[in-house]
Amino acid sequence: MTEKLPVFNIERFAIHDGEGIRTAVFLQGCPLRCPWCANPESQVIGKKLMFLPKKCVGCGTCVQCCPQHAVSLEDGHAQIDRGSCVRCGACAAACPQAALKISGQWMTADEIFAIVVRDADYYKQTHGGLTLSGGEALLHIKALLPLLQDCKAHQIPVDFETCGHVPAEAIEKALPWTERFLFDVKTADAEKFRRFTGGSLELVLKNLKIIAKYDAQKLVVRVPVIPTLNHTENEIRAILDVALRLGISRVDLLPYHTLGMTKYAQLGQDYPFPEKKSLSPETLQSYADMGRKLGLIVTIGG
Amino acid sequence: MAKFDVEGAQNVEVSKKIPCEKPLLEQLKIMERYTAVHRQFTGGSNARREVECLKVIFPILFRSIEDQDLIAGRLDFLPIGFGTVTSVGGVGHYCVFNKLRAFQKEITALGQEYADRVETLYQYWLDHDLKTLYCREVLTDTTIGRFIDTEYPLIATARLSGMMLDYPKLLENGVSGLRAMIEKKLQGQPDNDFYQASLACLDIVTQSADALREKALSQMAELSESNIKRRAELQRIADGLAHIRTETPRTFHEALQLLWLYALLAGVINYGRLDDFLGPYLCRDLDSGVLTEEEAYQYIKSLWTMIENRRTTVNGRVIVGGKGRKHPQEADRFLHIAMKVCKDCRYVEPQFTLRLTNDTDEQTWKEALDALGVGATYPTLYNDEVNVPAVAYGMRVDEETAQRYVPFGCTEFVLWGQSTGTPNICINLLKILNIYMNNGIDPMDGQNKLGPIQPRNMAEIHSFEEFYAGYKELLNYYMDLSAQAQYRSYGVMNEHVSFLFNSILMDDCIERGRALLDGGVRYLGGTCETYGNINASDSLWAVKSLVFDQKKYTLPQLEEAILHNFEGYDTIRRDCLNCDKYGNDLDTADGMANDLYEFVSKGIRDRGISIGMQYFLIVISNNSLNTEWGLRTSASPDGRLSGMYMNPANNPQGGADKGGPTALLNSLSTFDAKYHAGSVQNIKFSRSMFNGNKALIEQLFKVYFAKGGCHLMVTVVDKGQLEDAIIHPEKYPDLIVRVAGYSAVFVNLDRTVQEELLSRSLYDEERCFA
Repeated sequence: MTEKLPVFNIERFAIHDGEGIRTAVFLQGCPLRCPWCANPESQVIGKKLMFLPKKCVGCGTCVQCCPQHAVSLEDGHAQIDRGSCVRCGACAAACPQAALKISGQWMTADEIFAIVVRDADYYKQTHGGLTLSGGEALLHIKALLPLLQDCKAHQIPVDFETCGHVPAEAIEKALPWTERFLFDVKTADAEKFRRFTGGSLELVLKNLKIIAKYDAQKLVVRVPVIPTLNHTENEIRAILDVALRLGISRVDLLPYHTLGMTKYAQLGQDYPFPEKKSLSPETLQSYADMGRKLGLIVTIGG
Repeated sequence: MAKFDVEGAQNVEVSKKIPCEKPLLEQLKIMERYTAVHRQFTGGSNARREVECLKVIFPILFRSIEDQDLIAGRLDFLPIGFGTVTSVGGVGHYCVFNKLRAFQKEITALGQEYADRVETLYQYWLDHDLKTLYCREVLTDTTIGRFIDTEYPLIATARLSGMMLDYPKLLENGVSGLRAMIEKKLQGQPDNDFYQASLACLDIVTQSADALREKALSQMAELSESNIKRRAELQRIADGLAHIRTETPRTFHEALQLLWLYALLAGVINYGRLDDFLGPYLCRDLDSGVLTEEEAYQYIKSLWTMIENRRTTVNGRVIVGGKGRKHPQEADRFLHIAMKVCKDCRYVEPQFTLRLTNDTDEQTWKEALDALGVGATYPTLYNDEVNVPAVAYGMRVDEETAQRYVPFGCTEFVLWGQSTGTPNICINLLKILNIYMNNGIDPMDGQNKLGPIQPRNMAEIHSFEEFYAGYKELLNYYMDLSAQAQYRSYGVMNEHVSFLFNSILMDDCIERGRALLDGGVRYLGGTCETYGNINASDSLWAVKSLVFDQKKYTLPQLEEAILHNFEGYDTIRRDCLNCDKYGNDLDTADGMANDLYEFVSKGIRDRGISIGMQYFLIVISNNSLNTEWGLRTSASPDGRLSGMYMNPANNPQGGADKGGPTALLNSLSTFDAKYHAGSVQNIKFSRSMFNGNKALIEQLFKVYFAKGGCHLMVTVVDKGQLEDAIIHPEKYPDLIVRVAGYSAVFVNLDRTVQEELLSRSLYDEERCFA
């Protein structure tokens, strides 16, 4: 029996995560806990109940149907007791307004491929393809293999968008199937990396080297520019130096944004990052210029 | 005979008309004269009566030349007169009763006797207005309504929309050449009143040119000597008219002038392949130094303004590019200048139309995307690689003839110079479904609209096939009515008018010595507009899925929820809405949409051929009728509420497509184009998305066309619209914006995200335009 994959979103006509027109498949499960994460529903594998209060009309259908009695009405809005909720989805299935929804579903590689292949003509025309993202898609490399094989057979190029914090074997397994890795290097400071994300920079850089050694052209270093993490000239310079040392020529600078804030609210969570204002692409211009002077190909935004 | 309101609005009139230049009393006298002539010549030859009536209104109804006009020719329309279409004036010998009433009210201020005089006219025309005569004969109490009475599942009218004349014939022969041609034919048939009247029509061209020349000269005389530029322009207009009054045009200016003058006299509001018709004149003048590029630009801009000022709302087609042009190189020079004008003017009309082929060059693509990117919504894109073979099959002509296809109005195809294609029937597929499901009673007004078809008891239907067959039976009945009513519209028009100006420039009227609808036109074609197609097919899918596959509800249960407009049936409605919907690249719902499409399109086509037309094809077009008819169409199994707009053109119901542009385009491209004569496909982008990714979007369109997409109407919205979308989200159900790691429908985003996007979209635009 084929292993299933925890999918929380499939975005067609994705044009900012790799070259050309792509389909981006987002998988759940991430080894890091970046507080600026824009996809909080992606971090842990499993169903999430998301509540959109704007759509709720207070009809009480959810209260009636919840087997855990985890929903009540307060001030004409549904109120969810997240402690009692087992994410069975009964309320989401019943809600006439679609104010409650379940994020995350298990799909087979075949099911995912059936969607991906529908845009094959667009990929071909634009050098696009499939981007596997997350969460951390490489955590699921074994279950992904049938999908990678199908893509290869149909000449659909595959990119991975990765935080790099995965076992080296996962990288090695993915390498022959992968056109490009959009590889996050969030900081060159191991202590800061640990403090902000809970992860080991050493592991990330080791994986980066494995790919660079195999073929540095497969790499695009992606730098989320985050206030207090790396939003200084010295810190960005240190990241660019990592790329230069490994012969990587392409760097994407991604300005910090707060568009994920509402998702935290929908999950009943507090937004964990103190900075509440997005960075404009213009603020990254000097970093881009710096990178270009060093001979790198730098873009701002994906 | 069915009762109908002769004063009901006869067409969609969105753009406000420019008021008549003449004083009220003079208008009244012209209408009285027209009526007297009509009365006097009734009983004799139609052609003779027509030309005598035309002499009453031409050249007197020409307006003065506006300051910005580089050629002459603006017309007024009175509530009584002669025309071809409802958008300007009316059809044949017409009276627009609601406008005549308004006129009567206005003129009463001058004295009751004037109102009485108007009343006399009103009463006369009740028995002579062509459209009214048609309506009296064809309309029924419950099945066939008048244009536009949305209580009915089918509406019918008599009109001659979308005529695209053989302008090369006019330009190459001039008035005198056409005269010689007709005189020669007349020698063989000296009693042919069609020929005689046609000659008199050519006199009207000459007289109109003379009258306009007088206007140009007298307006010039009123200008001060120092206004050298405008005086020179008016002189050029006068000189041009003096030449083209009988002779063939020598310059771009003269060619444009003759074409425009003739189009006005003929009452046509679509202009055809102007790049190919005018390109050779343009190039000759540019190359010989008679015109500079800038002057050529100003001429085309002037033409654009004059077309816009006719305010036909949904017509004014100018077509460029594509297969079958005689002078492709010269035509392309016209095309490139016209693209610039289109980008700069951003008028609602002309409906600037670009036909694309696999050979369309990069510059043309780039210009088209640039114009779209600034929000022009034009050019609207047609794919010749699909449409030419489709037209050849659909209209039963060879491919070379099919290359003459041109879209008019909302999208209907016609063969320029060779076919009629007027859409005189509109049919509401969803309303018919709702009637069928409710035992023949329209839930909207309680009327039985089954005609002779026996009602079906929903409780006794045991399979989807049986359910669908019952719907098809009723569709068959309405398709029979459609073909009969369309065909009869030609019959009625032919019993009263000859459409002389149109006939002269349409094959094979002169050759055969017969007026257009009297056996003259080479291909007597027609079109039938279908509405609610996707609501109907999504409804069929919902019935199949919920009732017969999942067995979640019975048909009577579903019907009960629908009849209550889902009030108190929220769960059923949610289940209906959650069924697969067309527009998401799903074989389920798209397959159903195709099945219904093929049933209706083939049904209409076969009936048209049987009844004696060259072709009768459906068009799936795009105007506000989907909304207006929706207001009087009850709730449906797709989850749509009673009174809600229906899906636009061939697009999904607003907001039903959730898979992004590739999924939408894949769905749009699934239909076999050979069974329709035009099907509008809309796609909408935010300004920053479109302009920031033009290269990719161009490739997106190219793949869609390669997959079989026949057409694309691209909307790019600006920031103001995003702001408006926050206030009126219901108006923007499918506005796509790029958020961050994902794209989203703007109005579905949380307010804070919307505001965030608004705050930065300016950056996006600056980046795009840098």
